[in-house]
Amino acid sequence: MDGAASAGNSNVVRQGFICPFCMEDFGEYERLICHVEDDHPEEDSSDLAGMFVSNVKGFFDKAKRGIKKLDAKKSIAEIASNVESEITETTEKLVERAPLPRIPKPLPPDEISPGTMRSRTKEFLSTRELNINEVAVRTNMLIIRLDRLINGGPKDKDPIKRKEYEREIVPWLDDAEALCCPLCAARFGITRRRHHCRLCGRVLCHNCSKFLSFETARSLTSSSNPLGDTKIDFDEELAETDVPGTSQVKENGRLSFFDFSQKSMDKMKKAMAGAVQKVHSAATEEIISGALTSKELSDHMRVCNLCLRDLNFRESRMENKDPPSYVQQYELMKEMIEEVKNLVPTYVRVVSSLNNGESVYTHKHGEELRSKCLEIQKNIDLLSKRIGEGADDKPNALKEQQLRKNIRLSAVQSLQGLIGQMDSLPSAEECVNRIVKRKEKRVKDFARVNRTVMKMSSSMPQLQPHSHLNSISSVSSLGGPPSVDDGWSAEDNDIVFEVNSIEDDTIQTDHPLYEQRDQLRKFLFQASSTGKLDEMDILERNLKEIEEEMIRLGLPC
Amino acid sequence: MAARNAGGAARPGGPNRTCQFKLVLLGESAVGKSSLVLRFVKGQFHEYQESTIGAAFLTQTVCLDDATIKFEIWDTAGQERYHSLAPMYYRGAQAAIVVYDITNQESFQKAKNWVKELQRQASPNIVMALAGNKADVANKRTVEYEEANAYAEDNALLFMETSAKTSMNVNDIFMAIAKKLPIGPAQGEGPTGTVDMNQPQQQQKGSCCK
Repeated sequence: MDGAASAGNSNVVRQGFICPFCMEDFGEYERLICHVEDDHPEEDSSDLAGMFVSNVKGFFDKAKRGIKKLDAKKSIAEIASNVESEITETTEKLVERAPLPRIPKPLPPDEISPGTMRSRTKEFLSTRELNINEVAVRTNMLIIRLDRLINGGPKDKDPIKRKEYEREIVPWLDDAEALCCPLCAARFGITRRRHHCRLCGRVLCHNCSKFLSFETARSLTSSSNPLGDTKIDFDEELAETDVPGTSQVKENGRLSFFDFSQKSMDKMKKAMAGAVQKVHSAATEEIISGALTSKELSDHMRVCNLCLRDLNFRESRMENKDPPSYVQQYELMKEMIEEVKNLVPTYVRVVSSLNNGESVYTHKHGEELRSKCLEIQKNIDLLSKRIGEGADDKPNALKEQQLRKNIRLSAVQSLQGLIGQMDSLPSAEECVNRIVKRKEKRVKDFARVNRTVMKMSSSMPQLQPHSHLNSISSVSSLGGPPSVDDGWSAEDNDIVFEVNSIEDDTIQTDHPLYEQRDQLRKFLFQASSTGKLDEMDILERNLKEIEEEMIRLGLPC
Repeated sequence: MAARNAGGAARPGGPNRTCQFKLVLLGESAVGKSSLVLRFVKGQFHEYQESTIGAAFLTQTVCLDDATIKFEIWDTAGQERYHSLAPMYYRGAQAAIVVYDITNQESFQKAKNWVKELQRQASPNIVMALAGNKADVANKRTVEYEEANAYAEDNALLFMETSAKTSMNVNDIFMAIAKKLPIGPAQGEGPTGTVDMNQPQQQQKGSCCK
């Protein structure tokens, strides 16, 4: 510090929405922003181009803001005139930098940043785990009780004995303790009777409990058959039909609340018919107490909504564990599509190679690949058709049908795409012709190169014997291919190869590139004879590189 | 110290020169910007400093041995909802102090953001200082001195840990800024007997006392 000293100041602290340029206090956020924007616009730089750009940019920004601000009521003409005035204003501004009209900026919301944050995931997970465990334990208990209730008990259908047995397994809550239903908080009385849930022993009103049929209960307890008839029937209404005639209309009205399938409606009708019969034989005191007839006791048991929910949840989880058959089919189909997707590019490569007259792949390869692709595609088509059609009447049959249709559709689409990629395979003869043509072209190229070499040979006499030999060999190879034209199938590739090798042997062999090329061709031949397509691909690329290198070096190939 | 050399070379004007500089304080809320300024300007410290609304404006004059510098200090509000006001305050500012709280790592991150914003949008010649405030409660620190110092060095910032409460380093940081500020273009004779290596650079920088 070199003699620094702070002098006293006379100013009072000013605080608020003070403009830093004219020191005026505007008292409000919005007013300060507007004022600064209008009266102290930012001047970027002195150069004209920069000014122009910033002005144009500013104009667009302002126009945008202005348009945003406009009410939906405002007509398009108004907008146009507004924009027009903005344009004229901006042009004026370009000349004399007149300030643009004030466009108030909205006050920012009070909570822009979330402030301090803390992860609660761990806490949540631990709490959730406790909950899950609790539910799991409870569900297991319910299942065990259910199992004992439906499988044990007195053999005879005496309702009193049955009740005793039920109370033995699940202690029932005392009637006197329950003044109102724990679920809907309605008071019990003469019209609203107390009912015990057979699974948890709680007292509930009729509306908050359902009847679980034994059949359903059995499917719930036997976990080996999750896809069986596991649907829990809401048999409440079945029980209601105990009450004869007059109340049936009312009950039917209530039915509309439940989305009943046709199946359960049929069941209803049957049960109603049975119920009317039953009523005659039922003891009168049982009707009064709202209890079930002896026959129904063997069929149903009252369960509270909470227990039912837990059971339903367990069941739905079981369903998820064992996916329906069409899911497996879909997986299989996906696998097949993947396989074809991998095969098709190979096929396309083979076809293009054959079309180019390259002797790397044989016609047989193409044929095999093509038939393989087509076979898999046919399988996909069949499978997807099966998936698309095979819907059955399950609870959510409509959704399932939609899903199946979609699977079919996507399969068809991907098949179309794949087939579109597959070019037609040239016939075997065509392949041969192409190979011959390519050979001829090569020979021609070779001859041309030879000529240039010959020309050069005058200056480099030691090259002459070679090139002379080359020209002879080229002539011999020219006559070669046509002679094998007839009966030259794709399998005879080795002949072609031998022609090649003979030809190569006669040409310069002193360059290492020739040796490499020959080696590669041998490998290629081996690979093609064993049908290793990927290796062929790599080898072919290498061969091409070598040939290019040879051309670059001016060596005849 | 580089700032000293620059300062020495940058003072070619007469000994009685007076320059005005606009200085802006930035940083997260409740890091002690207002306390820092109040300590510097009035020598006061309020334990329960009220949160700034909008911005506060204060001035303070300091005398260096060859110039008098008047700081126009804009103490901005740190609350996030006033963030959009900040550009108008640091626009044209020659100096900025970015303040963070050494007991609050998040405020240090925020300070880094402020530095980035200043580097992008403020004047390129702005002299920036980083102040780690609340150094009196160093036992609760979460931002290490070395960490902040390294960051300041990387970004060519002045750096000090300050305490508005004990007034540690408060005057010093303003002084350091004052010395780093360019004191006008060369007029008359330069400092004699020294090779003026920084002169061309300073002329580029010269942006005050128009």
